[in-house]
Amino acid sequence: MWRIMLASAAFWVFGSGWLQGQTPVRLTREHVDLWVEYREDMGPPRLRLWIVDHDRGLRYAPPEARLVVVEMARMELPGDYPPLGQAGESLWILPQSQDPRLLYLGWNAGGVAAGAFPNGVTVRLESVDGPGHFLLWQAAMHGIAVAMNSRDGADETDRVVLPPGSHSHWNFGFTAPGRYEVTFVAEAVAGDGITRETSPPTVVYFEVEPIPVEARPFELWQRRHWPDGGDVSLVGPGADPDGDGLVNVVEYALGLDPHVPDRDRLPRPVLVTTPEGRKLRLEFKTPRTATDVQFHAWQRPLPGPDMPWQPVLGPQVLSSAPEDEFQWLAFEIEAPMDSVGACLRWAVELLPWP
Amino acid sequence: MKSMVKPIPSQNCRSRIWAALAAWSLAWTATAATVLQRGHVDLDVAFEDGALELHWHVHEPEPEGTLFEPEDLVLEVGPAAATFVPANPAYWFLGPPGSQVYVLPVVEHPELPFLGLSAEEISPGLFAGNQILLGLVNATGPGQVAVYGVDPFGSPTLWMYTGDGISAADAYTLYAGSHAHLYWAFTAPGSYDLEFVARGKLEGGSWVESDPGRFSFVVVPEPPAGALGLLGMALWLIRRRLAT
Repeated sequence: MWRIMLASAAFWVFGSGWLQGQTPVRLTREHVDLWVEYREDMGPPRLRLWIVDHDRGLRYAPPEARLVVVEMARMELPGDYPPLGQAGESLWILPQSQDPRLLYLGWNAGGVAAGAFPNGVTVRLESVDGPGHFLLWQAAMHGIAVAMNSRDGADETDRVVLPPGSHSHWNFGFTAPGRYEVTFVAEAVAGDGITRETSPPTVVYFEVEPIPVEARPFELWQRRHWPDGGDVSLVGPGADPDGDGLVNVVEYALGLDPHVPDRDRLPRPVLVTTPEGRKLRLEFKTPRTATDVQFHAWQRPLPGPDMPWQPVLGPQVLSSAPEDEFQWLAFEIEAPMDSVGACLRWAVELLPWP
Repeated sequence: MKSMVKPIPSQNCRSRIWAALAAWSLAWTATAATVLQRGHVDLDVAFEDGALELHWHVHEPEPEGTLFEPEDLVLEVGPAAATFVPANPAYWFLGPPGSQVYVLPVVEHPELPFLGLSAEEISPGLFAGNQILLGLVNATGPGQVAVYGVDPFGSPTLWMYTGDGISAADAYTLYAGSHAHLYWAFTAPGSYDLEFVARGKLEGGSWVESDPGRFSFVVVPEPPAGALGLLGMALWLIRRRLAT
């Protein structure tokens, strides 16, 4: 009989944390363009949007970059400038005229060959997800011309038309600090008047400073279970108010109830047969909102108190539909037929925030 | 930067008509210099062999473009640049409200040069604050020239203006590795020569200064209706004479 030992889940508070993928590059004062490219030699989509840093000669896919609007970009409107706002209201602005302290942002259709689209490329505002509104306009001697304004929703009127090969600078405005996801779609009609090219909806990420500090998810869980607050010996991550041997951070990470003894709901490893052979699998669910925890596991063979623990890769994501409240994760280790057994230890780490 | 409190300049109607005709005819005259009517072009500051240099940088063919010595290119400011001075008193330097002015905008126009100021070829770290000062030191032409930016609310920042004389205030700060676009306004048609000098303080503490570079512009309005009529008549007469 194969022997399995599962050490009790432990927890760490403010551990080292894990780097979740590549860190986006922050662009703060560079000359940057939202670059429209048309590649006739590619399969659809042939129209794409990129982020181009002219100072360094680098190009980024939009998810790889964060366009930063530093706090000194905040201005108080000197008068009423509908629809930008009214006198005294704050507006964070990346200006059309270069300010060396700020990001110098423009639109550029340099990636579209002359003659490709007789009527140019239309870039539409698809949506804005953020704490405030987004505006795009140009100012000249004859006044202000607003091209995009999310105050009244995003519709067909929220657009700019870029002649192929053209380059222009605009005022980009935001009405509140925080993180914005501004989605654009580029569209164009070829010279035959029939062939239409459309880019995928492309999210451009802006960070308007100062970024409000969000309550960490674990704190929100604490407030939900103890609305009146409480002593750290009751509500803290290492506390065990229901006395079931599962501390609060484990209850939180596994979606359990800290007020009800529910140690019997602690996941147990099971032997499974896979195409790759027999495995020992520890399957568990975690709330999708618990983004500030990380799971770790280690293994060592039996008998083996003198054997070192070896880290187990993972956990693997078994299911993660966005509409589900929980996602299912699993750690797996080899369980060869000729082995006696294995020991699996796992832990929950509460990550630093933010 | 220039002070924004200045008197409004006056204009002579008859001299503008003659200047317009002269400019229009100049556009059809072969010159030794290349005439650029449209496309992205920069007044470029470079740093080579310990010296600052001024060039025109035409951004075609891509990607490197073409460099011209200042005297080897003439920028044509065509009829699409014509606009009228607004009633906004902040734009006093362009002339009386309602008068005609010729402006190269900061948005690329298919019928105009898209003119920028560039220090893109200068590596950051060479100059103190990464700053290079481009100063206007001399100007000739039938009207005034103003180089200005516009803030997000439409108010101008005047960087260079010939209408109050030329001084150290007629300058714009460029940043190494970057470039900028400003409005270039000309108050009358005709030929203009603008002479610039670039200066910068090296990180080691010494100053370097370029030789003066003379950059030429020709403002070409729509030909006057009368002149078009005369030209048409002349061509008809020539054709009739050749036919007989």
